[in-house]
Amino acid sequence: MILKIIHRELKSSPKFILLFVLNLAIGLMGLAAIEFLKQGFNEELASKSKAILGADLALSSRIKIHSDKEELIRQRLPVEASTKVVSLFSMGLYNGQSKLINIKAMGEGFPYYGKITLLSGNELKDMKDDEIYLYQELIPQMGLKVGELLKIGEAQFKVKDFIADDPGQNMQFGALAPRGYISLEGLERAKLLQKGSTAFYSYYFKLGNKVKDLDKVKEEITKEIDDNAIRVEIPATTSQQVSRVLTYLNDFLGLVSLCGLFLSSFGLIYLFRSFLHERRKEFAIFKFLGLKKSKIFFIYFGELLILGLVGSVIGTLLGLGASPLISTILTSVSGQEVSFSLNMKSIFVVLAIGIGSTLILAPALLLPYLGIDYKILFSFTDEVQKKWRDYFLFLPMVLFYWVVSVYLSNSFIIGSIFVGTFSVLTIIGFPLGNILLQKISVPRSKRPLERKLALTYIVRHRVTTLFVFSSIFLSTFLMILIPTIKSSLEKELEMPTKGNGPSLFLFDIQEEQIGSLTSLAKKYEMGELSLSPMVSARLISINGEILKTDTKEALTREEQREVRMRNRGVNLTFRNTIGPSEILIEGRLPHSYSPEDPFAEVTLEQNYASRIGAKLNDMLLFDILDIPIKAKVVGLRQVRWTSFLPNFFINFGPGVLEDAPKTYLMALSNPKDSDINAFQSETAKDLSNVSVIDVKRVVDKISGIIESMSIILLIMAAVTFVAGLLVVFSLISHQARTRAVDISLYKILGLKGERISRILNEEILIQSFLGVLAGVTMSLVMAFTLSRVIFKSTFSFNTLEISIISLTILAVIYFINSTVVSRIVTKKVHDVFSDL
Amino acid sequence: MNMKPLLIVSLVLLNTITFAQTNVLFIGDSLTAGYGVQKEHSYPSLVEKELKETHKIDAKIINGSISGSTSASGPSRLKWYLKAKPQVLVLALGANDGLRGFKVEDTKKNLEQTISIAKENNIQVILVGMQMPPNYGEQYTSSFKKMFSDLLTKHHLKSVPFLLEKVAGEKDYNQEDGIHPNEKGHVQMAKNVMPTLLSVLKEKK
Repeated sequence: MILKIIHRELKSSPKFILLFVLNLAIGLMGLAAIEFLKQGFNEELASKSKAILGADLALSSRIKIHSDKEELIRQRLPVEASTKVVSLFSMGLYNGQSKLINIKAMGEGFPYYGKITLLSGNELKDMKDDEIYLYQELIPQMGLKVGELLKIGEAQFKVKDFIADDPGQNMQFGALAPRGYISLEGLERAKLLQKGSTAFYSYYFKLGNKVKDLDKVKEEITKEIDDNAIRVEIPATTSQQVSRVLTYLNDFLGLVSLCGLFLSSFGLIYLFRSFLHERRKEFAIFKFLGLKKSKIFFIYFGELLILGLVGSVIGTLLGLGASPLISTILTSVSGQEVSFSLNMKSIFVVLAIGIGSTLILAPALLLPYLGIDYKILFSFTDEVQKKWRDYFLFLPMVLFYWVVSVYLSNSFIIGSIFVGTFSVLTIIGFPLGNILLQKISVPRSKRPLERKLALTYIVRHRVTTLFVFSSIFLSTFLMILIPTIKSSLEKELEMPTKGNGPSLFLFDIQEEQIGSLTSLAKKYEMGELSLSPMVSARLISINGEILKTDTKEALTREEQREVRMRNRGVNLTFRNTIGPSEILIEGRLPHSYSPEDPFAEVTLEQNYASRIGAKLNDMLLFDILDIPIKAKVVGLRQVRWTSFLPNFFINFGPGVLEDAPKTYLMALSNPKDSDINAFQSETAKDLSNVSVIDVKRVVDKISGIIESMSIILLIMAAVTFVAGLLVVFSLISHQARTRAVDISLYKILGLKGERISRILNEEILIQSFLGVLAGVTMSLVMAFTLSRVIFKSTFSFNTLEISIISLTILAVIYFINSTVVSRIVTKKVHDVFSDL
Repeated sequence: MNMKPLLIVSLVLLNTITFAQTNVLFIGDSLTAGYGVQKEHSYPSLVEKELKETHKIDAKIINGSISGSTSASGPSRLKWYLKAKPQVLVLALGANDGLRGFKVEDTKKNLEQTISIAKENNIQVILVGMQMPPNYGEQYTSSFKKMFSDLLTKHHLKSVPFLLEKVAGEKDYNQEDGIHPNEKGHVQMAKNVMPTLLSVLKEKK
């Protein structure tokens, strides 16, 4: 019988079903698309990171690693395969010329992940003892060809092929010398490893999918090995830039899912509340007919279950449909394979959240209606009387959303902030708003009747006013929050040198070489992006407190490493402007120094400042080539890492370091795609000490990832906006329908349809305007907090975007309200009352 | 503390110089700058201490070494330090040139230029020998070694045969990067430099 009633109930409310299912489906669509893509994106980046390292775990050291360390890994972890790789620099001799080459001698099977592609199209594997595979730049630099012999150490190697793509080098900012691959046996033949040789020794391990938490493994292994000279590496730590973008993306996507779900849940609450409100007399009839409360509960619970199931399935399917489209766009833009992955876990999560968010409405919204009395059948009372304890029925909903929020945001803090903010706003906001509205009285001025009636309604119907206000407030808040965070992240990811990024880094430039180098760059039509002087120094003290630099005082290995780092000194620069890749976030730029000044002035990079514990106005003492220099911190800078330009932690003002011995760093762009090899050869010939590093490949790769990230931000912000509009639609149409009796009463009193529409439009617009205003304010506060605390990026917002969203919300509210009200106005009065 | 900018470095340096003192200028790279160790533990500082405490020689050591620097910076650096009126120059450059695979002729040219400037200013040069690790190949390492002996012969210089003698390749004497000496390594480097420097300073007396 219950099923029959459910069927009849649902059949009689097609509009409600459509709206409810649509609301849930759109809210879930975003979540589903994010879940499927997030998985695919993470998998792709994880496999890219593995390809960069070539293994699951690696031990590397500048000092020969004792075999017992390898044994330790074998004992501790399920090792599928392991091999040794030795990397060193050597001079390659060919045809009377010599060239520095980074020789990488690889053991069998390496790399375990990713493949080194050769110019011939083949993959590098099974190297013979007398073969060498070289980077392409050696073709023009040495005039080498396939089949020729190159002498390395004491052995001749046949050039077998040239490297077309090497994942291990893709994410590294250039290298001192082009790479050449030989086998370990080849290395022995060349006799390059002797006493006094400088080499980088590594052991690579393939662990397959057996080890899940590699971060933890890394931590444990590092502790067990207990040797500062040995570095334990895992794929996630191989590329800082990639992991940085990934973290932003993960956090942001979690936030979008959360906002989408919250918005959709508001819509569901409104729709179901409206549905129950319209059905309130049926509860009494059911009871009158002798149906038990539990049975009535199950009728509506069953309806929710069906609707939740249908909505969730449609949402999942829509998400599935959208994912390939989004992944195609991302792949084409970024050049990275961003696939969506359909797995049972993602589907289960989406369905569970969808159905759960529907069913969780039951206790809070349904239970109060079960207490309905038969009297309601004979009364015109509109509202169901609520008891205090009914508010506790919302607790399961709060708990459910808390768990889901923490899961979706991947963060206990963000999830808790979200749910906590909503709960606190509700608990404090409602009583406070109630008191405020009580204190307000509509002044008896010569206002038009419409406004007076509208204001009177707002002040007298406090609960309704607060409900409409808070719903608009929360919807606006969520709809603005995502684009605002998007703006902040876009600012963070903005590439100041976009399309014209650096192609070459040049260092060790002597002052007298700048002119020749600039002319050479001009000849090759290269753009000078930056030229920075670099002076070496040691930081001695901060505010008179001497920095700990004695390794004997350092107790732990970490402390020892920190002290060593400090003793390596710092590189200073000087300039009187802020660089294109920097933002001054606190204080000011240093003034020019004059000999009468008691100290010089510096700005510090903010992360460096916090690492050394320096703040604005602190006094730093430097030892610059045996001369003590006192400098005051007058500003803190944030470095835009997306510029890929050389940056300095410490920046002096002009007038202090100009005469000090220094070298220069230069970054060049290559907009005309000039011959980099010819430029490098000419530099090596005329300015042999200047090292030229090609960074174009890595800049392009990372730029691609950043661009796809920006597109994801845009798409997800749009999905949230659509979900938000749907919520606004649900809530306003519900609100307008609840005014049917008032509209009829106005009509009985002789008010014309037009004036009635104006009264109700003014009412809703006043409430909505205040709600939107509060929502915008709150979203800016929240976006500021999240940008600073979670994303650690600069806060930024787009006024035009916020204005457009706010006006669209108000316009949609006006349009829906007018449409619904005019439809009710045209209804005959007795029809409205008979509906009751 | 009365801070003076580098702009008026000569005044600062001159203030610290007494007439009896011999000013010894070290121009080198990270090995001489004391990369990764406390300044007081770098070998030029250890040398200064030993000269004073053990040999009672009042020598002022000026360490003008810069990590990562190559021989190309030698001439300009020496010109700048001329204001400090050094009487002895310990020239310890060239290691980075070799590690970066520079042409030996270019390094030789730069070192020669630095030596010439020193000679023009009556500064006695101690050339500190550098050797390339064997992985750079026999041809390069031997021509690099030969470059130093050629310079010594041509310019009749005093020398420290190999700065990293008993340090290079020794785990106990190097930091975890395997290249830069640790505190123990610097003690050994001071021992390597001391005999030549001592003989030059004694001659100066």
